[in-house]
Amino acid sequence: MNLLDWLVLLLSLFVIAGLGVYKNRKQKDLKSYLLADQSLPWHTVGISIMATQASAITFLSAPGQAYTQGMGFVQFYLGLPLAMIVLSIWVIPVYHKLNIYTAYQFLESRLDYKTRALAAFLFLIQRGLAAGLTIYAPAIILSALLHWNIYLTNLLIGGLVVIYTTVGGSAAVGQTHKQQMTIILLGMLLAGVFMVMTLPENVSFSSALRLSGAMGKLETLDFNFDLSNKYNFWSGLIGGFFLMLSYFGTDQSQVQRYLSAGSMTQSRLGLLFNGLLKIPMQFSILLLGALLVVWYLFINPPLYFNQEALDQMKGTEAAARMEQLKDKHQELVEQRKSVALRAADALDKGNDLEFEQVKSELQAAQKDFEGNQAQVRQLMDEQTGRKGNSDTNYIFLRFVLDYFPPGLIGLLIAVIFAASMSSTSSELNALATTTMIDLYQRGFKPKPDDRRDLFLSKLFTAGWGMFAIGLAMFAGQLGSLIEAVNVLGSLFYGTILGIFMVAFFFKYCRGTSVFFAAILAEVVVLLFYFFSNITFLWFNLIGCVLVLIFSLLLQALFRLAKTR
Amino acid sequence: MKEEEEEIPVFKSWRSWYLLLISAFLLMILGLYLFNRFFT
Repeated sequence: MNLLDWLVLLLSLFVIAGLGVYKNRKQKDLKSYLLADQSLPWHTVGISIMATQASAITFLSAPGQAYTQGMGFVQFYLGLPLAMIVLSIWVIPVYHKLNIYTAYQFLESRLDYKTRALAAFLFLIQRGLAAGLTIYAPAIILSALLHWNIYLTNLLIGGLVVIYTTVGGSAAVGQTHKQQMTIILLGMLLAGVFMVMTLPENVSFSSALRLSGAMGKLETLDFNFDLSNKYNFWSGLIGGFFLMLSYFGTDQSQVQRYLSAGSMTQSRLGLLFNGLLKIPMQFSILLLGALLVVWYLFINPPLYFNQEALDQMKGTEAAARMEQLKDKHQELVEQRKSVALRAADALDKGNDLEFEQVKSELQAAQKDFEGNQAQVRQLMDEQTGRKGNSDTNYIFLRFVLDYFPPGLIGLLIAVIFAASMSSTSSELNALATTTMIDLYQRGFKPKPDDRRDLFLSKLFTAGWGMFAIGLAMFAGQLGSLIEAVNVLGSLFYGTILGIFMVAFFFKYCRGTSVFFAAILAEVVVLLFYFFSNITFLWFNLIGCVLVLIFSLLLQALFRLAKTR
Repeated sequence: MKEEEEEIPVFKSWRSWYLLLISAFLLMILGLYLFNRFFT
C-alpha cells in the first residue's frame, strides 16, 4: 500500500465515522436513539438491511468461493425474496401495531415473559459472539496479507464503530450504512471493470465467461436433491427460506433496521428492495471470482494465497514435499496456460468447433491443477494438525494487493473495513437495544426516566462494543471455537423461528408449551448436528417444524391434564 | 409511528408489489438457469 492508498482508506473511514457522529450527536429520548425516531425512508432502510447482512467476509470470501468451487453459493439466497414477502404480509403489520423496540417484546404480548427472555437471551449470546468475529475475521486476513498488527487492526475497525454507534445510535447506523454501501458497490464495480479491462487482448468478456464456464465455475443452479450437499437449489430455496425468515424476522440486528422506518409502508418497501437486489448483488460478487479464474489462466497464480501460512511451512518436515508441490504447480500452470491460450484463440476466431475440442483439454488441465492445490491443503492439514486449511478468504484480497493500481487498493481495503463496520454497528445497536428493553426495562421495571435510559443505552452500546473488540483480540487463541460459534447461529435460528411461528399462527398454543417445545426442539437439532450428515441450512427447517409439532403436542397434553 | 398508514406507492395494492417481486424472482431463476445452460 502506498500513500495514495492510505489516503483513500483513512479518508473514507474517518469521513464516514465523523459524519455519523457529527450529524447524529443529539438525541432527545430513547426512541430517537434506539429507533432513529422512526423516521428513516424506505431506501435508507433497504440499504441498511443489505449493509447489515453483508459483512467483510461476504466480500472476501464470496469471490474466493467462486474461484475454487464455482458460483453455486448464489443458491444460498434463493429463499430470500420469498421470505421478504412473507415478512411484509404477516410480520411487519404486527410489529408496527404493537409499536415495539425489539422483536422479543412481541413474544411476551402473545406468549409469556419466560419465552421472550429465552429468545432475547439466545440472541444476546449468539450475536454477542458473532460481533467479535465480524471484527476479527477481516482483521486476521488484512494482518496476514499486509503484515499489520492484528490488535491494532481490531482496534481500528472496532474502535471507530463503537464511537459512532455509541454517540449516534440507530440514526448513525442507518446513515453510515448508505455511505458504506456506496464505497462497497463502487469498489466492487471498479474491481470488476479493472479485471475485464486487464484480461489478455484476445479475451473478451464473453470469451472469459465461456472459459470460466468450461472450467465449471459458472454452475449457478444444481437441481439434485441432496441433504448432504451444502448449496443446491432445494437447500437454498427451502432451507434458505426458513433461514432468511428467521434472520430477517427474529434477529434484532435486522428487525431494528425496519422498525426504524417512518411507517409500515417504508418498512415494507425497504424489505422488498432487499428482496429484489440481494440475488443480483451476490451474483455479481461471485462473478468476480469466476472471472478471476480466467485472469489467473494467463498469469501465474500463487501456490497458496495465504503466503504467511505458506512461509510457516519452511523449515518443517513438510518443507521438501511442499517444494515438490510448488515445482509441480509451476509445471501445471504452464500446461494450463498453453491450453487456455489455444482455447482463447479459438474463441477469438469464433471457431466453436475447435473450442469444444480444446475445452476437454482445459478441463483436464484444470483438474490436475486443482488436484495439486488439494494436496497442498492436505499437507498443511497434516503439518498443522488442523483439518480444513484453506486460502479461500485470501484469494481476492491477495489478487487486489498484487495487481491493482494505487488508489484502487486503498479503496478495496476501505470496502473490507466498511463491510465489517456496517455489520458490527447494527449488531452493537441491536445488542444494546435488547439489553435495555428486554432485560433492564422489563427485568428491573425502573421508574420511567428518559435521560437515564438514554445514558444507559449508550453505556450498553459501548459495553457490547468493548466486549466485541475484546473477543476479537482473543479470537486467534480460540482456534476451532470460531467455527463452532458460526455453526451455533445456524443451530439456534430454526428454533427461534419456530417460537415466532407458533406465536404468529397458532393461537391455540400458550407460553409454557412453546417454552418447553423450544428446549426440546433444540436438543433434537443438536442430536441431528452431532449424529447425522445433514448440512446446516436444513436445521433451520427442522428446528422450526419441531417447535411447531412439540408446541401443539405439549399444549394438547397440558389441556388434557387440566381437564382431568 | 404514524397512526394512519400512508398511501402505497406506484401500485394500488401491496399484492401488486408482491407479484412484482415474485415475477422478478422467477425471472432471476430463469436467468440463472439460462446462464448455467449457456456457459457450462
